[in-house]
Amino acid sequence: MAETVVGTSLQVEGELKSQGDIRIEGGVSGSIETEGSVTIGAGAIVKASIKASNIDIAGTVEGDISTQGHIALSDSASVNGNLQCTELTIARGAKFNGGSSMGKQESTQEEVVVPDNVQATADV
Amino acid sequence: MYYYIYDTFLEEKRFARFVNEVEAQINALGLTGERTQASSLRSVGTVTKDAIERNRQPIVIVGSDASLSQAIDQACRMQTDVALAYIPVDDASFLARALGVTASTGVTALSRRVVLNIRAARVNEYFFVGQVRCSRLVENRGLRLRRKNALTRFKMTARIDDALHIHGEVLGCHVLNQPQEALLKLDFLEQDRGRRQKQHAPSSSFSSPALELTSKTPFETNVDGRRVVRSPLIITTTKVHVPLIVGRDRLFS
Repeated sequence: MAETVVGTSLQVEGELKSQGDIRIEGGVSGSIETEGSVTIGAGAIVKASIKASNIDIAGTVEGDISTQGHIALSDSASVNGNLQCTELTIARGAKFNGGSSMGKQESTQEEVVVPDNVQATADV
Repeated sequence: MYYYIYDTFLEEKRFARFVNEVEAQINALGLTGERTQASSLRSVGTVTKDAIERNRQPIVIVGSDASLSQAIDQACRMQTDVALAYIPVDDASFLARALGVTASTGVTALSRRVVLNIRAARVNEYFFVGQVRCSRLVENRGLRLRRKNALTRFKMTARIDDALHIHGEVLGCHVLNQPQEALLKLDFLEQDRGRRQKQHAPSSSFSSPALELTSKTPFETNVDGRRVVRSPLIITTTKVHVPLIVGRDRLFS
Protein backbone atom coordinates (compact mmCIF):
# COMPACT_ATOMS: atom_id res chain seq x y z
CA MET A 1 0.00 0.00 0.00
CA ALA A 2 1.32 3.41 -0.99
CA GLU A 3 2.40 5.88 1.64
CA THR A 4 0.04 8.79 2.27
CA VAL A 5 1.88 12.08 2.62
CA VAL A 6 0.46 15.41 3.73
CA GLY A 7 2.98 18.04 2.64
CA THR A 8 3.80 21.34 4.26
CA SER A 9 1.47 23.39 2.03
CA LEU A 10 -1.62 21.34 2.66
CA GLN A 11 -4.39 21.28 5.23
CA VAL A 12 -6.47 18.14 5.55
CA GLU A 13 -9.85 18.00 7.26
CA GLY A 14 -11.87 14.86 7.94
CA GLU A 15 -11.21 11.17 8.33
CA LEU A 16 -7.77 10.29 7.04
CA LYS A 17 -7.85 6.51 6.64
CA SER A 18 -5.20 4.34 5.07
CA GLN A 19 -3.83 0.80 5.08
CA GLY A 20 -0.28 2.01 4.57
CA ASP A 21 2.04 4.42 6.32
CA ILE A 22 1.09 8.07 6.78
CA ARG A 23 3.56 10.94 6.96
CA ILE A 24 2.36 14.39 7.96
CA GLU A 25 4.31 17.60 7.42
CA GLY A 26 1.33 19.96 7.08
CA GLY A 27 -1.93 20.29 8.99
CA VAL A 28 -4.57 17.68 9.77
CA SER A 29 -7.80 18.03 11.72
CA GLY A 30 -10.33 15.24 12.30
CA SER A 31 -9.10 11.69 12.75
CA ILE A 32 -6.25 9.55 11.49
CA GLU A 33 -6.49 5.78 11.25
CA THR A 34 -4.15 3.33 9.57
CA GLU A 35 -2.84 -0.21 9.79
CA GLY A 36 0.62 1.20 9.13
CA SER A 37 2.75 3.75 10.94
CA VAL A 38 2.19 7.47 11.38
CA THR A 39 5.07 9.93 11.30
CA ILE A 40 4.39 13.53 12.26
CA GLY A 41 7.11 15.93 11.16
CA ALA A 42 8.51 18.83 13.17
CA GLY A 43 6.43 21.51 11.47
CA ALA A 44 3.18 19.57 11.40
CA ILE A 45 0.10 20.62 13.37
CA VAL A 46 -2.38 17.81 14.01
CA LYS A 47 -5.70 18.26 15.77
CA ALA A 48 -6.98 14.73 15.49
CA SER A 49 -7.29 11.40 17.22
CA ILE A 50 -4.71 8.94 15.91
CA LYS A 51 -4.85 5.14 15.64
CA ALA A 52 -1.91 3.37 14.03
CA SER A 53 0.55 0.51 14.49
CA ASN A 54 3.41 2.81 15.51
CA ILE A 55 3.56 6.57 15.89
CA ASP A 56 6.55 8.91 15.74
CA ILE A 57 5.89 12.50 16.68
CA ALA A 58 8.13 15.52 16.14
CA GLY A 59 5.38 18.10 15.63
CA THR A 60 2.33 19.32 17.51
CA VAL A 61 -0.60 17.01 18.26
CA GLU A 62 -3.87 17.75 20.02
CA GLY A 63 -5.91 14.59 20.42
CA ASP A 64 -5.88 11.08 21.78
CA ILE A 65 -3.33 8.67 20.41
CA SER A 66 -3.73 4.93 20.41
CA THR A 67 -1.50 2.14 19.14
CA GLN A 68 -0.69 -1.51 19.71
CA GLY A 69 2.97 -0.64 19.19
CA HIS A 70 5.20 2.22 20.26
CA ILE A 71 4.79 5.96 20.51
CA ALA A 72 7.92 8.06 20.23
CA LEU A 73 8.00 11.76 21.08
CA SER A 74 11.10 13.51 19.81
CA ASP A 75 12.58 16.65 21.40
CA SER A 76 10.48 18.97 19.24
CA ALA A 77 7.19 17.15 19.92
CA SER A 78 4.27 18.78 21.69
CA VAL A 79 1.35 16.53 22.61
CA ASN A 80 -1.91 17.41 24.35
CA GLY A 81 -3.96 14.24 24.74
CA ASN A 82 -4.06 10.76 26.14
CA LEU A 83 -1.68 8.09 24.97
CA GLN A 84 -2.33 4.36 24.80
CA CYS A 85 0.49 2.09 23.69
CA THR A 86 2.75 -0.82 24.67
CA GLU A 87 5.95 1.20 24.50
CA LEU A 88 6.51 4.91 25.03
CA THR A 89 9.64 6.94 24.42
CA ILE A 90 9.86 10.61 25.34
CA ALA A 91 12.95 12.59 24.42
CA ARG A 92 14.34 15.44 26.51
CA GLY A 93 12.58 18.66 25.54
CA ALA A 94 9.34 17.04 24.44
CA LYS A 95 6.12 18.52 25.84
CA PHE A 96 3.42 16.12 26.89
CA ASN A 97 0.20 17.04 28.69
CA GLY A 98 -2.25 14.19 29.23
CA GLY A 99 -2.68 10.69 30.50
CA SER A 100 -1.03 7.54 29.32
CA SER A 101 -1.77 3.86 29.62
CA MET A 102 0.45 0.96 28.72
CA GLY A 103 -0.87 -2.36 27.55
CA LYS A 104 -3.84 -3.45 25.50
CA GLN A 105 -6.76 -2.48 27.74
CA GLU A 106 -7.91 1.07 27.85
CA SER A 107 -7.38 2.72 31.19
CA THR A 108 -7.29 6.15 32.70
CA GLN A 109 -4.39 5.13 34.89
CA GLU A 110 -1.46 7.38 34.28
CA GLU A 111 1.82 5.63 33.83
CA VAL A 112 4.85 6.49 31.78
CA VAL A 113 7.78 4.16 31.26
CA VAL A 114 10.88 5.94 30.16
CA PRO A 115 13.80 3.85 28.89
CA ASP A 116 17.02 4.19 30.90
CA ASN A 117 18.85 5.88 28.05
CA VAL A 118 16.28 8.65 27.67
CA GLN A 119 15.89 11.64 29.91
CA ALA A 120 12.27 12.65 30.12
CA THR A 121 11.16 16.15 31.04
CA ALA A 122 7.59 15.60 30.09
CA ASP A 123 4.80 17.09 32.14
CA VAL A 124 2.62 14.07 32.94
CA MET B 1 -6.93 -7.76 -40.28
CA TYR B 2 -4.93 -4.89 -38.86
CA TYR B 3 -6.61 -1.53 -38.99
CA TYR B 4 -4.18 1.38 -38.79
CA ILE B 5 -5.35 4.85 -37.82
CA TYR B 6 -2.81 7.61 -38.43
CA ASP B 7 -3.48 10.86 -36.58
CA THR B 8 -3.90 14.09 -38.53
CA PHE B 9 -0.61 15.69 -37.52
CA LEU B 10 1.37 12.87 -39.13
CA GLU B 11 0.59 14.42 -42.50
CA GLU B 12 3.08 17.15 -41.66
CA LYS B 13 6.38 16.91 -43.52
CA ARG B 14 8.47 16.59 -40.37
CA PHE B 15 6.82 13.25 -39.58
CA ALA B 16 7.35 11.77 -43.06
CA ARG B 17 10.45 9.86 -41.98
CA PHE B 18 8.70 8.41 -38.93
CA VAL B 19 5.73 7.29 -41.02
CA ASN B 20 8.02 5.73 -43.65
CA GLU B 21 9.97 3.82 -40.99
CA VAL B 22 6.81 2.51 -39.35
CA GLU B 23 5.39 1.38 -42.67
CA ALA B 24 8.66 -0.29 -43.62
CA GLN B 25 8.55 -2.29 -40.36
CA ILE B 26 4.91 -3.19 -40.86
CA ASN B 27 5.72 -4.50 -44.34
CA ALA B 28 8.84 -6.32 -43.15
CA LEU B 29 6.87 -8.17 -40.46
CA GLY B 30 3.96 -8.90 -42.79
CA LEU B 31 1.50 -6.95 -40.66
CA THR B 32 -0.10 -4.99 -43.43
CA GLY B 33 -3.75 -4.05 -43.20
CA GLU B 34 -6.23 -1.29 -43.84
CA ARG B 35 -4.89 2.25 -43.38
CA THR B 36 -6.96 5.32 -42.47
CA GLN B 37 -5.86 8.88 -41.95
CA ALA B 38 -7.70 10.92 -39.35
CA SER B 39 -8.45 14.50 -40.32
CA SER B 40 -9.72 17.69 -38.78
CA LEU B 41 -13.22 16.58 -39.70
CA ARG B 42 -12.81 12.94 -38.63
CA SER B 43 -10.88 12.68 -35.39
CA VAL B 44 -9.10 9.55 -34.20
CA GLY B 45 -12.04 8.98 -31.85
CA THR B 46 -14.56 9.11 -34.69
CA VAL B 47 -12.49 6.83 -36.92
CA THR B 48 -12.05 4.40 -34.02
CA LYS B 49 -15.80 4.35 -33.44
CA ASP B 50 -16.40 3.50 -37.11
CA ALA B 51 -13.74 0.78 -37.01
CA ILE B 52 -15.24 -0.84 -33.91
CA GLU B 53 -18.70 -0.74 -35.45
CA ARG B 54 -17.31 -2.44 -38.55
CA ASN B 55 -15.59 -5.00 -36.30
CA ARG B 56 -12.07 -4.17 -37.51
CA GLN B 57 -9.40 -5.54 -35.19
CA PRO B 58 -6.89 -5.01 -33.86
CA ILE B 59 -7.03 -1.26 -34.22
CA VAL B 60 -3.56 0.28 -34.30
CA ILE B 61 -3.22 3.94 -33.38
CA VAL B 62 -0.20 5.68 -34.89
CA GLY B 63 0.34 9.05 -33.29
CA SER B 64 0.68 10.61 -29.86
CA ASP B 65 -0.75 9.87 -26.41
CA ALA B 66 -3.58 12.25 -27.28
CA SER B 67 -4.39 10.10 -30.33
CA LEU B 68 -4.46 6.88 -28.31
CA SER B 69 -6.45 8.43 -25.49
CA GLN B 70 -9.21 9.39 -27.95
CA ALA B 71 -9.35 5.79 -29.13
CA ILE B 72 -9.33 4.45 -25.56
CA ASP B 73 -12.15 6.82 -24.61
CA GLN B 74 -14.20 5.62 -27.55
CA ALA B 75 -13.47 1.93 -26.90
CA CYS B 76 -14.49 2.31 -23.24
CA ARG B 77 -17.73 4.07 -24.17
CA MET B 78 -18.57 1.20 -26.52
CA GLN B 79 -17.27 -1.41 -24.04
CA THR B 80 -15.74 -3.35 -26.89
CA ASP B 81 -13.49 -6.39 -26.87
CA VAL B 82 -11.57 -5.04 -29.86
CA ALA B 83 -7.89 -4.75 -28.96
CA LEU B 84 -6.09 -1.45 -29.40
CA ALA B 85 -2.40 -1.11 -30.17
CA TYR B 86 -0.14 1.93 -30.13
CA ILE B 87 2.78 3.03 -32.25
CA PRO B 88 3.96 6.26 -30.58
CA VAL B 89 5.67 9.12 -32.32
CA ASP B 90 7.28 10.02 -28.96
CA ASP B 91 9.03 7.09 -27.29
CA ALA B 92 9.20 8.94 -23.96
CA SER B 93 5.52 9.78 -23.69
CA PHE B 94 3.65 8.54 -20.64
CA LEU B 95 1.40 6.03 -22.40
CA ALA B 96 4.29 4.75 -24.54
CA ARG B 97 6.23 3.96 -21.37
CA ALA B 98 3.19 2.59 -19.55
CA LEU B 99 2.45 0.19 -22.40
CA GLY B 100 6.13 -0.56 -23.03
CA VAL B 101 6.18 0.42 -26.69
CA THR B 102 8.32 2.72 -28.82
CA ALA B 103 8.18 3.68 -32.49
CA SER B 104 10.20 0.57 -33.32
CA THR B 105 8.99 -1.89 -30.66
CA GLY B 106 5.36 -0.89 -31.17
CA VAL B 107 5.31 -2.85 -34.41
CA THR B 108 7.09 -5.81 -32.79
CA ALA B 109 4.57 -5.80 -29.93
CA LEU B 110 1.86 -5.92 -32.56
CA SER B 111 3.28 -9.12 -33.98
CA ARG B 112 3.59 -10.66 -30.49
CA ARG B 113 0.04 -9.70 -29.56
CA VAL B 114 0.30 -9.74 -25.79
CA VAL B 115 -3.02 -8.22 -24.73
CA LEU B 116 -3.71 -6.78 -21.29
CA ASN B 117 -7.19 -5.85 -20.18
CA ILE B 118 -6.52 -2.58 -18.42
CA ARG B 119 -9.08 -1.10 -16.09
CA ALA B 120 -9.92 2.42 -17.15
CA ALA B 121 -10.64 5.38 -14.92
CA ARG B 122 -12.88 8.29 -15.70
CA VAL B 123 -12.51 12.07 -15.40
CA ASN B 124 -15.83 13.83 -15.88
CA GLU B 125 -17.06 12.39 -19.20
CA TYR B 126 -13.68 11.06 -20.41
CA PHE B 127 -12.24 7.59 -19.89
CA PHE B 128 -8.50 7.27 -19.50
CA VAL B 129 -5.92 4.66 -18.52
CA GLY B 130 -2.86 6.76 -17.69
CA GLN B 131 -2.92 10.04 -15.82
CA VAL B 132 -4.58 13.39 -15.35
CA ARG B 133 -2.33 16.41 -14.87
CA CYS B 134 -3.54 19.76 -13.61
CA SER B 135 -1.71 23.05 -13.80
CA ARG B 136 -2.63 26.69 -13.59
CA LEU B 137 -4.02 28.88 -16.33
CA VAL B 138 -3.56 32.64 -16.32
CA GLU B 139 -5.30 35.29 -18.32
CA ASN B 140 -3.13 36.61 -21.08
CA ARG B 141 -3.91 40.07 -22.50
CA GLY B 142 -7.48 39.70 -21.33
CA LEU B 143 -8.52 37.49 -24.21
CA ARG B 144 -6.66 34.23 -24.42
CA LEU B 145 -5.81 31.66 -21.83
CA ARG B 146 -2.47 30.04 -21.94
CA ARG B 147 -0.45 27.93 -19.56
CA LYS B 148 2.06 29.98 -17.69
CA ASN B 149 5.52 28.60 -17.28
CA ALA B 150 6.37 26.32 -14.40
CA LEU B 151 6.13 27.30 -10.75
CA THR B 152 2.84 29.13 -10.86
CA ARG B 153 1.02 28.46 -7.63
CA PHE B 154 -2.71 28.31 -7.11
CA LYS B 155 -5.15 27.25 -4.43
CA MET B 156 -6.66 23.87 -4.98
CA THR B 157 -9.11 21.69 -3.09
CA ALA B 158 -9.49 17.93 -3.26
CA ARG B 159 -12.36 15.97 -1.81
CA ILE B 160 -11.83 12.27 -1.27
CA ASP B 161 -14.74 9.89 -0.65
CA ASP B 162 -16.77 12.72 0.94
CA ALA B 163 -14.79 12.09 4.11
CA LEU B 164 -11.63 14.06 3.51
CA HIS B 165 -11.06 17.62 2.36
CA ILE B 166 -7.59 18.67 1.32
CA HIS B 167 -6.72 22.23 0.46
CA GLY B 168 -3.61 24.23 -0.07
CA GLU B 169 -1.52 26.28 -2.44
CA VAL B 170 0.20 24.03 -4.96
CA LEU B 171 1.96 24.11 -8.31
CA GLY B 172 -0.28 21.43 -9.70
CA CYS B 173 -1.24 17.82 -9.26
CA HIS B 174 -1.18 14.45 -10.99
CA VAL B 175 -3.78 11.74 -10.69
CA LEU B 176 -2.33 8.41 -11.70
CA ASN B 177 -4.57 5.50 -12.61
CA GLN B 178 -3.44 2.34 -10.81
CA PRO B 179 -5.47 -0.31 -12.62
CA GLN B 180 -4.08 -3.27 -10.69
CA GLU B 181 -5.25 -1.88 -7.35
CA ALA B 182 -8.35 -0.13 -8.76
CA LEU B 183 -7.11 3.04 -7.12
CA LEU B 184 -6.17 6.56 -8.10
CA LYS B 185 -2.97 8.04 -6.73
CA LEU B 186 -3.22 11.78 -6.20
CA ASP B 187 0.11 13.60 -5.97
CA PHE B 188 0.28 17.31 -5.26
CA LEU B 189 3.27 19.19 -6.53
CA GLU B 190 3.92 21.68 -3.80
CA GLN B 191 5.53 25.04 -3.80
CA ASP B 192 9.20 25.43 -4.48
CA ARG B 193 10.73 27.00 -1.41
CA GLY B 194 14.21 27.45 -2.80
CA ARG B 195 16.89 25.05 -3.91
CA ARG B 196 18.13 24.20 -0.41
CA GLN B 197 14.74 23.50 1.06
CA LYS B 198 13.26 21.92 -2.03
CA GLN B 199 14.51 18.45 -1.22
CA HIS B 200 13.00 18.74 2.26
CA ALA B 201 9.61 19.89 1.01
CA PRO B 202 7.77 16.67 0.27
CA SER B 203 4.95 16.47 -2.20
CA SER B 204 1.68 15.16 -0.88
CA SER B 205 0.31 11.82 -1.92
CA PHE B 206 -3.07 10.17 -1.37
CA SER B 207 -4.76 7.05 -2.75
CA SER B 208 -8.47 6.64 -3.30
CA PRO B 209 -10.94 5.09 -5.75
CA ALA B 210 -12.71 8.43 -6.22
CA LEU B 211 -11.90 12.09 -5.81
CA GLU B 212 -12.94 15.57 -6.82
CA LEU B 213 -10.62 18.44 -7.65
CA THR B 214 -11.70 22.07 -7.65
CA SER B 215 -10.18 25.52 -7.63
CA LYS B 216 -11.50 29.05 -7.84
CA THR B 217 -8.56 29.72 -10.16
CA PRO B 218 -9.00 28.45 -13.73
CA PHE B 219 -6.67 25.54 -14.31
CA GLU B 220 -5.83 23.35 -17.25
CA THR B 221 -6.30 19.61 -17.24
CA ASN B 222 -4.36 17.24 -19.44
CA VAL B 223 -5.89 13.78 -19.71
CA ASP B 224 -3.36 11.40 -21.26
CA GLY B 225 -2.17 14.11 -23.62
CA ARG B 226 -5.55 15.67 -24.31
CA ARG B 227 -6.22 19.14 -22.94
CA VAL B 228 -9.46 19.80 -21.19
CA VAL B 229 -10.54 22.95 -19.39
CA ARG B 230 -13.30 22.24 -16.97
CA SER B 231 -13.80 22.29 -13.24
CA PRO B 232 -14.69 20.55 -11.00
CA LEU B 233 -12.94 17.37 -12.02
CA ILE B 234 -14.66 14.26 -10.77
CA ILE B 235 -12.28 11.34 -11.15
CA THR B 236 -13.26 7.77 -10.43
CA THR B 237 -12.09 4.26 -11.08
CA THR B 238 -14.44 2.19 -13.24
CA LYS B 239 -15.18 -1.44 -13.98
CA VAL B 240 -14.64 -0.86 -17.69
CA HIS B 241 -11.62 -2.64 -19.12
CA VAL B 242 -9.93 -1.87 -22.40
CA PRO B 243 -7.81 -4.52 -24.19
CA LEU B 244 -4.43 -3.03 -25.09
CA ILE B 245 -1.54 -4.69 -26.90
CA VAL B 246 1.57 -4.15 -24.78
CA GLY B 247 5.32 -4.47 -25.10
CA ARG B 248 7.81 -6.22 -22.86
CA ASP B 249 9.01 -3.17 -20.93
CA ARG B 250 5.58 -2.03 -19.86
CA LEU B 251 4.76 -0.38 -16.55
CA PHE B 252 1.27 -1.88 -16.44
CA SER B 253 1.22 -5.49 -15.28
